[in-house]
Amino acid sequence: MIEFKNVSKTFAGQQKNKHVKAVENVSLNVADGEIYGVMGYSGAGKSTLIRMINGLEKPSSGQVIVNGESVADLSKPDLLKLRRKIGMIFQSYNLLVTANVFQNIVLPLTLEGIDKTEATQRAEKYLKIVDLWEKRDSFPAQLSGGQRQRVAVARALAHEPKILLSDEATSALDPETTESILSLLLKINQELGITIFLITHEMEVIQRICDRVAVLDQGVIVEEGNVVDVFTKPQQEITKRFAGVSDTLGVPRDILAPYQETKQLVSLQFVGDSANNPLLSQLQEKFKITPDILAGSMGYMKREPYGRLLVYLKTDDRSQYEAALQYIRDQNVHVEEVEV
Amino acid sequence: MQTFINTWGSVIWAGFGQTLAMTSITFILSIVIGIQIGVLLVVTRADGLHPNRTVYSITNWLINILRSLPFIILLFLILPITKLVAGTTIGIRGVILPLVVYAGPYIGRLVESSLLEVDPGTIEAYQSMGISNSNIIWRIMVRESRSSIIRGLTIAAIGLIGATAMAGLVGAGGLGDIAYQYGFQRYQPDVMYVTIVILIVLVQLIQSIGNVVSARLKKD
Repeated sequence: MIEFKNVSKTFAGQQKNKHVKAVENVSLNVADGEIYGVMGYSGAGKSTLIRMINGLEKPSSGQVIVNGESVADLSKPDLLKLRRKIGMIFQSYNLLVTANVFQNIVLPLTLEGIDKTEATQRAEKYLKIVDLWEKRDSFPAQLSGGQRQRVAVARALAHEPKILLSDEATSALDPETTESILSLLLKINQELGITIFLITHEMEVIQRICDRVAVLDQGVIVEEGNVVDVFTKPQQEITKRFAGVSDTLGVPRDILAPYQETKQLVSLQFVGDSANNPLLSQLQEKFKITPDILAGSMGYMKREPYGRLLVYLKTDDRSQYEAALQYIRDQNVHVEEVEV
Repeated sequence: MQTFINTWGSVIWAGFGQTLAMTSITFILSIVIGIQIGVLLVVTRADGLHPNRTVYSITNWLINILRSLPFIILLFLILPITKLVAGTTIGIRGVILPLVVYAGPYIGRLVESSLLEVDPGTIEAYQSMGISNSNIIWRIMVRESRSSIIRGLTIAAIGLIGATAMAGLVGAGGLGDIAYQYGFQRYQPDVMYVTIVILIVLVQLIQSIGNVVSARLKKD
C-alpha cells in the first residue's frame, strides 16, 4: 500500500553548500490494513518522512509509492486526487477556528466538489463515529484537546480515505485522552479497514496500537520489525532507550546496586498468554530459587497483555540460576540480566 | 441654531455627501485591489503556496514606493495618469484614482499581515486534503483571517476619510474642504467645529461598526 524505495531527502541549509539530510536511504513497506509506526526523537526526520507519502514533501532521491503510483511523478490534478484518499491528522489539530465542528467537516468536502447533501450525510456519519455529534455546533475554541483531535479524525475520515497519516496526533494530549484517541484509531483501523501510518516519539503509542515499527535516528531507519519483537529484543541503543530495557521501572539505582552485584538481577517481559502463567512460583518449586520482586508493570501491547517484572533470583547455586533462565526462556518469556 | 442650519445646513450636508461618496467609492475599489495585492504578496513569498521571487520583489518594492508618498504629493504626481484614466483631474471623478492608488497598497499591506496570521498548520491540513491552492486562499485563508481583515479595513476606511480632506484641493469638496475653506480661510470657526464634530462622529461610528463586526467573526 505504501512503499519507500531508497528514499533520501536533503534540505538546502542556511549557508550555501551546507545541506541538511533529513531522511537517508529509507526503504520500508506498509501492508494494507496495517498500523505502522515510525518512532524517533524530534529532528529524526519523521515529519519529512510522513509528508512524502502525500506529496507535501518530495524526495531528493528514491521513490515513494502509494497504491502502485510514484507520488513525486503524479501530475498536479492526480496528486490532489491521491491526497483526497489519504487522511491526515496533526499534533495541533489544524481545524478552522472560524468554523464550527460541523462546518469543519463539511467545508473541505464541498471544496473538493462533493455535493452538499452527501457532505452533510458524511459529516453526520463520522461525527457519530468519533462520538461528537452533540458537539456539532461548537467551535474548536470551546472544545478540549481530545475533542478537537476527534473532530480532526472525523474530518479526515469524511473523505473516506484508504490511508490515515497521523503526525504526532497524541503528543499534545494527556495520558487519558491519548488512550481514548488511540482506541479510536484502533477502532477505525479494524472496523473501516483503514491503513494507518503514524509518527511519534511516544513509545506507548507504538506499543498500544502498532503492528510494526521502524525506529528512525538521524534520518536513518536503525531498526524495524514487529512491535513485540522490537520491544522485547531491541538491538540498537536508541531502541533500548525507547523500549526502556535498561529502565529500572522507577527503582532508584543505588537500591538495585547490591542485587546487581550478584549478577542475578533480571528483567522479565511477558507478552500475551505468557503473562498469565504462574512462572515465579514454578521457579521456587523447580529450582529452589526465591524470586524477590523489586518492581513490576502491566499494560497492553496492541491487544495483548504485556507485563514487565524486575526480579532478583535468590540462590547460591549458579547452575540452578542458569537452568532457571533457560526454563523462563522456554516459557516464551523474554529475560535479560539488568545492567544498571 | 436655526439660523446656522438655514445658512450652512445645505453646504455641510453636501460636503458630508461628497465625503461619503468619495470614501465609499474609493474604499470599495481599494478593497478589491488591496485584497488582490495582499493575496499576491502572501502567495508569492518564499514560504507561500506559490513562491515567485520576482513577482514578490517587484510587488513589494512598488508598494513601498507608493506607500512612501504622502497623499497630497501623490495627488499631484499622478495628475497626468488621472487625466488619462478618469478624463478629468478635478471633482470627485478626478480624485478617485489618486485615492485608490493611495489606499489600495495600504489595504494590501493590512491584508497581507492578516493573511500571514493564519496558522500554517491549517493551510497544510487543507493541502493534505487535496484542496486546490485557489480554494485554500479564497475559502480558507481569507475566511480564517476575516476578523483581522475587518479590523484592518476599519483602519483603512478612517485613513481614507482623512485623505479625502485633501481632495478639496482639486475641487472634489467634502467635509475636510469645508472645514478648511470656511473655517480657516474665511475664519468662521463655528462651521469648522461642526464639520469636525461630524467627522469625529463618523470616525467613531466606523470604528465601532468595525469592532463589532470583527468581534462577531472572531470565534477563538
